Amino acid sequence: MRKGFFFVLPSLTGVILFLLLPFADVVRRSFFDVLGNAFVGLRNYQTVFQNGAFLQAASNTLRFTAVCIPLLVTVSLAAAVLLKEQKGMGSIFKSMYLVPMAIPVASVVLLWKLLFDRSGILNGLFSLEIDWMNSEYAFWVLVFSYLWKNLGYDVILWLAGLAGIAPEIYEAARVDGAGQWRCFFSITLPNLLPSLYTITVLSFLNSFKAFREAYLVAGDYPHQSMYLMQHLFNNWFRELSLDKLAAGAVINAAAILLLVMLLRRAWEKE
Amino acid sequence: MKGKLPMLLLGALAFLCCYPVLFLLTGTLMDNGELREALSPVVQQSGGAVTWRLLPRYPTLQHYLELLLDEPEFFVMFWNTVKLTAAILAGQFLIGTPAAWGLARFCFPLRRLLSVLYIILMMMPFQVRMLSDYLVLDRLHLLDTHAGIILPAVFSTFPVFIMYRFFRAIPEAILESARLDGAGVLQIFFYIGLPLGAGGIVSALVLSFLEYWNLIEQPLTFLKDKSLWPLALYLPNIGAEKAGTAFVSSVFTLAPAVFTFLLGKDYLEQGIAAAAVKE
Amino acid sequence: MKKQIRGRVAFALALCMLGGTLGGCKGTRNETAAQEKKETAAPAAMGRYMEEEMMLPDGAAFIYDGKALEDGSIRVAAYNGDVCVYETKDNAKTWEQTLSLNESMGKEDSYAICGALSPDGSLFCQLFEKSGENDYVYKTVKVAPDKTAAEVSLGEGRDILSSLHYIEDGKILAHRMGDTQITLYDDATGETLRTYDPHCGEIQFFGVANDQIITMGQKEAAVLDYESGEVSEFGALEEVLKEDKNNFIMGTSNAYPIVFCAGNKADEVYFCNRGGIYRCLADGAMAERVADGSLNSLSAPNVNLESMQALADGSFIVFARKDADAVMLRYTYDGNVPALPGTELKVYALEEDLTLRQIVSNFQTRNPEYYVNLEIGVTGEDAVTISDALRTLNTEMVAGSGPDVLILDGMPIDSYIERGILADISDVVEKVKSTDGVWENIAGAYEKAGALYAVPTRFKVPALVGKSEALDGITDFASLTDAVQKLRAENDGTEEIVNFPTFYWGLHSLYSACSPALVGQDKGLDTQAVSVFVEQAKQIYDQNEYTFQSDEARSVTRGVSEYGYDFSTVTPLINIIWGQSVMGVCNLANCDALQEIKTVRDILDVGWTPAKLSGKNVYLPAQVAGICSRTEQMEGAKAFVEYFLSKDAQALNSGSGFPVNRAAFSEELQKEASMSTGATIKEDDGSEHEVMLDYQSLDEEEQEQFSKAVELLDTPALTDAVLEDMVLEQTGQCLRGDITADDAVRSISQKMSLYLAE
Repeated sequence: MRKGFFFVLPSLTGVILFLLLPFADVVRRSFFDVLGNAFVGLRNYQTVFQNGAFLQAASNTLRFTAVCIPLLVTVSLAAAVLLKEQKGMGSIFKSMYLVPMAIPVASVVLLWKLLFDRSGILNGLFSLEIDWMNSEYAFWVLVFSYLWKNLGYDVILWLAGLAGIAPEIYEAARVDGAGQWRCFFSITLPNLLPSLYTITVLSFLNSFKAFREAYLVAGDYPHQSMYLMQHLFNNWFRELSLDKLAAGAVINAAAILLLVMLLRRAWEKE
Repeated sequence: MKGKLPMLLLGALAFLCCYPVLFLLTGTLMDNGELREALSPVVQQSGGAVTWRLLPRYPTLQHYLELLLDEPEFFVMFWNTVKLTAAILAGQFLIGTPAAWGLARFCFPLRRLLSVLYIILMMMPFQVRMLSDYLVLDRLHLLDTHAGIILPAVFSTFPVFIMYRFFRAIPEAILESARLDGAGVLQIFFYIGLPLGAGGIVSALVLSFLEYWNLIEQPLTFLKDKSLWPLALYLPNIGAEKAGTAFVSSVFTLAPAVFTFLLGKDYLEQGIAAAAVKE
Repeated sequence: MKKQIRGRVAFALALCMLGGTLGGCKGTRNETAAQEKKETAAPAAMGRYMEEEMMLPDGAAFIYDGKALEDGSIRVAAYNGDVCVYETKDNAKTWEQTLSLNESMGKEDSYAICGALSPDGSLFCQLFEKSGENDYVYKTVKVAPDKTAAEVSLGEGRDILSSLHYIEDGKILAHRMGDTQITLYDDATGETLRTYDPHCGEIQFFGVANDQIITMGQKEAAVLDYESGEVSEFGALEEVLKEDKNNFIMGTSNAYPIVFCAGNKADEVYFCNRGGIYRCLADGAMAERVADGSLNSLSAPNVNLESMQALADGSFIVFARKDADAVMLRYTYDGNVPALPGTELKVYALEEDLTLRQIVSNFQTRNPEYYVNLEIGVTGEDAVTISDALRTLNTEMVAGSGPDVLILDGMPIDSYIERGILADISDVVEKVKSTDGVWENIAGAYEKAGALYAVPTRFKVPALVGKSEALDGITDFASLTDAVQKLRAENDGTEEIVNFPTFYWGLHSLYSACSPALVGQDKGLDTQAVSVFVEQAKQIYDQNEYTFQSDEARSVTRGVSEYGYDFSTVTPLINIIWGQSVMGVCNLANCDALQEIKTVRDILDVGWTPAKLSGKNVYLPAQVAGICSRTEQMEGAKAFVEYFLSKDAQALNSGSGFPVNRAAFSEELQKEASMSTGATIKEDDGSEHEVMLDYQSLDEEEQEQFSKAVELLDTPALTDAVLEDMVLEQTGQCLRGDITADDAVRSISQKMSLYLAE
């Protein structure tokens, strides 16, 4: 079955050249000093693990991921389930949910600035005086932004998953006397597990993109709660701390690898 | 759940999602005075809060005209963005589709490893790769050229991941029967794989479109010559005078993305349906 | 379904194509840029225009108009105490006077604001005459080749003319300030013959070339044909001119950002600006650059253009003003010289600085084997922020394609030194030390383990300037606040106790003086000091009755600092005289400020003391030079830095700071006062009168005094732009009343600790 390999070959060469090679360089740099001259072994890793900013960013990123993904997954599932029942208006709503994905980042930033500023529209509407971006709420603004953007996509994915469950199963269950919630937990959920894998991975990927908006709205040093790994990397780069950057990147990649492997394991079992 | 409640909830959600577009559109139609008045609390910190009328008091097409006629850079950047996106999508289709097919339907050594690798590489944030990418591009003399943005993007593993799942969903039985009829590997790919996986391909392309239409970091770092910049870097400062232009350029940037969405929407749903079902 | 899709696809494609074609129409700008790139990028291309300075008639202070005649001679109308016309037939070796206004009108000291030469040698000018005690009058006069002078009044106006030009004998084109039209008058009778309306709003100035009238409005240009009065075949020139906004910025009077002349062929027009000399063809869509301004004096900030002519042999003469003197520069093509000097030196600075540009230009002239390429990180014209610029810079430096010389103002200097990206330049400093001497306390600001990686080439002294009694006893920030409160009680009617020239600069000056205290010894955050800074700043600001209007009190990050001019170097003395303020914090950057203080002391008891707000003797390093350790042009880079520190470059009067070069420093202090300022004094009874204050030079004692003060300076202020923005943004909000001081301190502390922890 070697022919399969040839299909992959063109992509592989490019991937090696433009993705693996740079990554290999990053790994190499993590063991050297800034200018890449002196070998320093594990010193950079030591420094990074002891670095206060790194720990803060890591905890924020974990917190963000841990909050966002379950939230997004459940809200979109709920919306999908509800949507499935509706005819007519339902498909219009579906398309409307997708709109946020199409809005360019620059416009989103513009809007966020106007909405969440101390003198912004939100405060105006509800007569509040909260400085959203400079307080603990900043984290939740980011979460909201993420949810808003990715809701539509996940809803579609769920809907597709739901569509794949044969209605006969439900009918059979109803004949047996199962109520709505029972159906949901015993039939719907188990059959959606494959979709869950895809959706989780994609949502995870999209959570990294949240950085762009955060950065454009709040700059290099946002409120502490919003300070993510990418902010740190960005700043390390600006200060030419390339050695720490490389070590941090490898640690980041390792964490992601771990997560992906775990997910895969969980799914392979099914 | 029965009754009007679900409809209301869903409707509210939909409104929330689309409100910003409405906001942008009305902003483009307001004249400078009104914009200044509305935005001054934020832009000039003049106290009070921003109030936004949904219907402008004095609607005007002034900003559209200004952008279309007075700002040549906008069009250069627009055309750059079109060029970049089209090239990247074409490349991803040519390179990524066979790769996804190969990973999905064939067994060969390293297949497992490669799939995992592709996923990991998909997740690398740009800041981490920035310097290394720069060095590689420098060696290849691709800096400050569009090719330096296009080529790395063409080999992105994200579309491969998406298409992979759709290709997996195609029942083996169909391929078996084709093979029995004497179809070769390539024929199977072209005549069965592509059509059946079309949903996946279009999904991947639509998602890629959105990603690259808004590309910011790579052009900022790798393109020095401003005449090569794409639209996402055209960000007029939001001073009160330029707010109108900011809104209009947002709308112009938004429009193609929305069009693409509308075009590919049905495919997106179809394709996702096929994939998400079977694993 | 398929039909729908096809339709939609078609629509989308159509939209794209529309965008594309419209984009194509506006291609002029890119073609010019691409052309220029191609020209300068061609490897080992030969041939360029070499500059030669030619002699002007004795004492010529400036040139009104210059004309190249068909027989090869050159005629100029100049001012040298007299308004006269000279001719040279031997390429400026000797000049012969043909007309003199003094002679023709029997006066002694004619002075004209503007003038023009007609093809037959007549001179037409607008004189500026004193009539009576304080009255001035403008007269327009024509002097014919036979030396007879006649006063001609043009139309009805007696206003100032801003441009005068001849295209043919007997008829003069003129334009008054504020006019939207250009008028053609008969130069003997003053009768209006016709008007030209270029439709570009208020006209700033215009030029003529090849029967074309090229008008520069506020933002737009218009090219009209002399005969028809309509837009001519050179209409495309309008777009080309419009692209560079510098073409519309007038500097000094009688000098222009851009000048025009006819070529040797009927379908050519040339223009010259800071970018160089360009040729535009009739019906052409773009301008071709024939001479690169960055390789000669044309790009120097101290050179302002007056007029230009193309000579029959293909060379050009440009009349300009270099500082206060008139110069005539000739550009001749030499095919044997490479198009670009062999070695390229890249110099990088985060922000625009005219002094830097001048130094680059001077270095280029003195070292023609180098081609200095000055790159500015943040131009303010696009969305690039300081962070973005730094990241791109870092990428390039590590990759080895970065600049050779860095002007480190605003950059994270300590980081760079730690990472080894800067080279040791102690040897360069040693050289200057042994010849002219340097202020070692300042040059050694960033010394590390005996080596110097970054050297401030200039410095500013944060100072409190104000009424002597007010300055008494201020030794740190707390005592300043106390003093301010006391003064507020004593001076009820005064608007401001501490002057804030603009919201940003007031804060910035306070920050400069206090910054060293904010970061503790071990590079940790000193929260106490931050707290003190914010609270005291607020208290001081609150004592001012004058609060800035909302749009003046905008965000105080660097990106929005107004006007691009460093107002922190302006003393508050004018305001103090007028009674609006009692004192101010500013950064003394040159002798002018010291002279001003001395002069004002004649009418008011004012003085200055170093702003010891952080308890230490702080100075603000400026134009900090460094060399990238990865440069391949170490020799050239070191030569550049050496020039930077040399007396020559340091002697340039600059708002950027006092020279670190001691010889230049002494000269700066010794320099003769040449400035003067007007001030309004408010008397106790409410009446106001104006005074003219001519600056007085410092005497030896005063120079000694200042030198002693400089000797005591030991602590450099923090110049990192990111840190400054962080602190000032929050402090600004606190001062405006948007957030409390506690909130501001908390925010700053949070951000700063992240910054320092990274």
